[in-house]
Amino acid sequence: MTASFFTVTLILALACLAGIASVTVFGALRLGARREDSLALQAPVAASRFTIPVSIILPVENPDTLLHAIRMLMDLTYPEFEVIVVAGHLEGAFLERLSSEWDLVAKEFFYRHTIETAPVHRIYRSNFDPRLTVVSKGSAGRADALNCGVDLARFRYVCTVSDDVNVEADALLRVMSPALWDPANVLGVSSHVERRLEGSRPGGEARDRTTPRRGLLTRIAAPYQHLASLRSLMDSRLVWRQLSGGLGPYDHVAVWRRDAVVQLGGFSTTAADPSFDMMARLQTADPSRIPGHVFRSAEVFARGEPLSVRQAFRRGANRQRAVIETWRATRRVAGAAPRARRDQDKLLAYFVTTELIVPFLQAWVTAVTVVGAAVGWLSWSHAVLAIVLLSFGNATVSGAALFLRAAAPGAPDEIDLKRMLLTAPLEFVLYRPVLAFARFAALGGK
Amino acid sequence: MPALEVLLLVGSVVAIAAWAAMSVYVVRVQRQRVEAHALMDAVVQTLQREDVASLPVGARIHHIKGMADEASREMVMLAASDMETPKEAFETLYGYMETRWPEERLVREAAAHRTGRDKWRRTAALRILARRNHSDAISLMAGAADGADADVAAVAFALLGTSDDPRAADVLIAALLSRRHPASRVAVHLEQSPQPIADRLRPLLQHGDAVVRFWSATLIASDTREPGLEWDLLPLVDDKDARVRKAAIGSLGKIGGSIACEAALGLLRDPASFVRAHAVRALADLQRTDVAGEIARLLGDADWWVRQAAKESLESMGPEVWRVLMPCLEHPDRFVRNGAAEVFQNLGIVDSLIVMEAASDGPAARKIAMLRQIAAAGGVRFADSLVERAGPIVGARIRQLLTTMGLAHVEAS
Repeated sequence: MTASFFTVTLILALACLAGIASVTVFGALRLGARREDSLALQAPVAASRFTIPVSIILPVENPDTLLHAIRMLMDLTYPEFEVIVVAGHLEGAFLERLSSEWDLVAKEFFYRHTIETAPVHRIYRSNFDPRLTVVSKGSAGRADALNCGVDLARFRYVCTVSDDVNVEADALLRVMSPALWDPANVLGVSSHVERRLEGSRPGGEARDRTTPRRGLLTRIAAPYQHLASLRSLMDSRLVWRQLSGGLGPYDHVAVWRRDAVVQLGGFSTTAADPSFDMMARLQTADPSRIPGHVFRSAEVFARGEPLSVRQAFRRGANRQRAVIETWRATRRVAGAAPRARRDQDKLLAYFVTTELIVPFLQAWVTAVTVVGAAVGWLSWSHAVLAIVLLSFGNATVSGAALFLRAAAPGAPDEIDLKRMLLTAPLEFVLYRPVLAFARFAALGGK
Repeated sequence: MPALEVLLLVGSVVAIAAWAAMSVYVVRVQRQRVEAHALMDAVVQTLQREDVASLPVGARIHHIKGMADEASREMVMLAASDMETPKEAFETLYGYMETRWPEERLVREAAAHRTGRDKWRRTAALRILARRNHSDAISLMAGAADGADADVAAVAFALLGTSDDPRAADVLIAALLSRRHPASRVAVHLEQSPQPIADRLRPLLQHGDAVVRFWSATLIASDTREPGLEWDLLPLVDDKDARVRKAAIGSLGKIGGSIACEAALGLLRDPASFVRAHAVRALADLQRTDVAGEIARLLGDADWWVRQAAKESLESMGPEVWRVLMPCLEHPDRFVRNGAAEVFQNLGIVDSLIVMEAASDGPAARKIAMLRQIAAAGGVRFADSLVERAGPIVGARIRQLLTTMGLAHVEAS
C-alpha cells in the first residue's frame, strides 16, 4: 500500500516536472535565438541632458574588490550619476588606500533622514571626482547600507550594485532604458548578473588581479553556477514576457525609483534578501498608492565571478529564506484592485512553481527512489533511471537557456558552449545536492 | 514494478534524446551565427582595403559579390545598418543589396511589421534607408514615429535626430505634439537635431497642452543664439502649470539677462517647491551674487530639495557669498545653520581660516568667533571632519584650538 502510494506520487511528480520543463523549453525556442535589444541608437541618450540622473549605491561587502568596483562604476558611460559607497567602520589601511586613489576628504553633508539607519560616522567626498561619495557608518547589514545610500541620494533613481560584479561601460544606460522611455510608469528595473568564470582557458578574458585564487571545488562548481545563472535569466525573460512582471533573476542589479522606496519605508533590514523583498513589495503594493510597474532590462547588466561552494551554499539558503518570506508576505497583501490582484496571483503562482515546487519535486523523486531502493520497495535500477531522467531533463532546460543566451552579446563561444552542454547532465549529481541541502537547511532554520 | 521501470526507462531515453537534440541544435545555430558574422566582417574588411576602396561602386560590388552571395539577406542588412560600417562599405553593400533584392522590398520592410523578426528587419531597413538619404526615408520614419511600437519609434526618433533633412525636425515636433510616445524621448533627439528648432518651437509656447509648452520652453534654450527668446519665455513664468513655470525659468537662466533675474526672484516664492528650486538654480546660472541673500533665505525652505538647490547655488557663486552666510550661522532654524556651515566648508573658507589660525600663536578674536559660529552650526561631525581633513599634525592643533574655543564636545567625540 505504502509502496503504491509512493509510486503514484513518483509518477505524478515526474509528469509535473516534464510538463514544466516542456513549457520552459518550448517558450525559449519560441522566443528564438534573437537578441532582445532593438537597434535603437543609444549615443544620443548617452549624451542628453534629459537623461534621468542616477545615484548608484555600492554597499561594501568585500574590501578586496571595492577599488576595482569603484573604478568600473566611475567609468560608466552615462550623462549624470553619482556613486555612493557605504562602508561599515571605514578606517586604517583600507581607508588610506581608498583615499590615496580617489583623494578623499572628510566633508560633512547635511542630508534628509527619510529612512532610519545606523549612525553615520563620516562622509568623504572625492577631490579627484566629485561624483564619488564614501560613507563610513555603523555596521548594520546590507539593507541598512542601502537605506543610508537612499537617504544620501541626490537623484530620482537609485541603482543598487554589489561590489563583486564587473560592469561594461554602457550597462547603466541599458538598465535605465525602460525608465528613460517612460519614467512615470517605472518603479524599478531589474537586470541580470551573469555569474561565470572569466579567463578560464587560453584566450579568455584575463582574471582581475584582485580576484582571489579559486579552490578545486569552486572550479568544479563554476560551470554549474553559470548554467544556473543562465536558467535564471531565461526564467525571468519568459515570465516577464508573459506576465509583465516578475521577481528578478537569482543574481541581479536593480534600479529603483527613490520616492517609491522611501514610501515603502526603505529596504527591510530583516529580510533575507533586501532587494528581492523590495521587488516583491513594489509589485504587490496597492497601485492606487504606488502606481507603476517593475520592469526588466534586456540582456545582461554585469558579470560576477563564481562563488565558492560555501558562498553558494549560503546564497542558496538565503534565496530559499527570501522565497518563503516573499510567499508569506504576498499572501497577506490585500486591498489591491481585482485586476492587479489577478496579475499578482499569476506572478506568485509562477514564482512558487519555479522556486518551491520544482526543487521540491526533484528532491522528492530522488528521495523516494533512493529510499525505496534502500528499503526494498523499488530496485536500484529505478533510482538510477530516475536520476538519469532528472539529470538529462535538467540538462535539456539548461540547453534551452544556453540557446537564448547565445544570441546576446558576450555569449559563450563554441568551445565553452560545447563544454557546458556536455557537462550539463552532471549538474544534477555534482552541484544540485549542495543547493538542495542549502534549501533544506534554510527551511530547518525557519 | 516493470511498468514503473519501463516508464523510467522510456523517460530517460526521451530525456537523453532531447538533451542531445537540443545540444546539437544550439551548437549548430551558434556556429552558423559565428560564420555569418565572420563572413560579413570579411566583406566589410575587404571593402576597407585601399585597393578596393579606391574602385568605383560597381567594381567594389563585383569584388565582394562572391563572398556576399553566401550571406543571408539579414546578415547583409545587419552589416549595412551598422552605423560603424564605413561610408564606402555602406554604399557598396547598399548597391549590392539592390542588385540581389529589389529596393521596394527594403522600403516595404521599413513601412510595417507584424512579427518580432519583421520588427528587427523594419528597424534595420529604416537605418539603411535613412543613411542612404532615400527619398522615402523621412515619410517612413514619420510613420514609425507615429506608430504604436516603442522600439521602432525609438529608432525613428534617433535617426530623425541626426538627419540633415529639415523635414526631420518637423516630424519630431509632430511626434512631440501627438504624445503617442513619451515627450521626453522625443525631446532628447529634438535637442540634438542639427536643424534650427527655436523658430519652430516659438508658436508652441502658447500651445493648449501643458506638456507641449513645458518641452517647448525647455528645448528652446538649446538654441540661445536666437534673439528675443527671453521675451517669448517671460509670459510662461506666470503659467498656470508649475512644470511650465519650471521649464521657463530654467531656460531663462541659460539665456541670461536682467529679465531672467527678475523672473527668477519672483519665482523664489512660487507655491511649487520644484519651481522655487529651479528659480534658485537659474540665479546661480546667472551668477547673480548680488541676490545671494535671497537665495540664502531658502536654506530654511520647507522643502528639502529647495534647501539643497540653495546650498549648491550658493557654493557655485564662490567665496563672495560669505557675508550673506554669516547671519545664517545663528539662525533659529537648524537647517539654515547646517546649510550655511556646509557652504562655508565646501567653499574652503573654514579650512583656510582654521589652518591659518591654528598655525598662529595669537589667533585673532574676530576670526575665532567666526570659526566658533561655523563649527557650532555644523555640529560634531562637521568639526571632526575638519580635524580629519587637516591631517595628523595640523589636525591636532586644530582640535586644541576648537577646544579653546569652547567646543569641548569635538574633543570628546
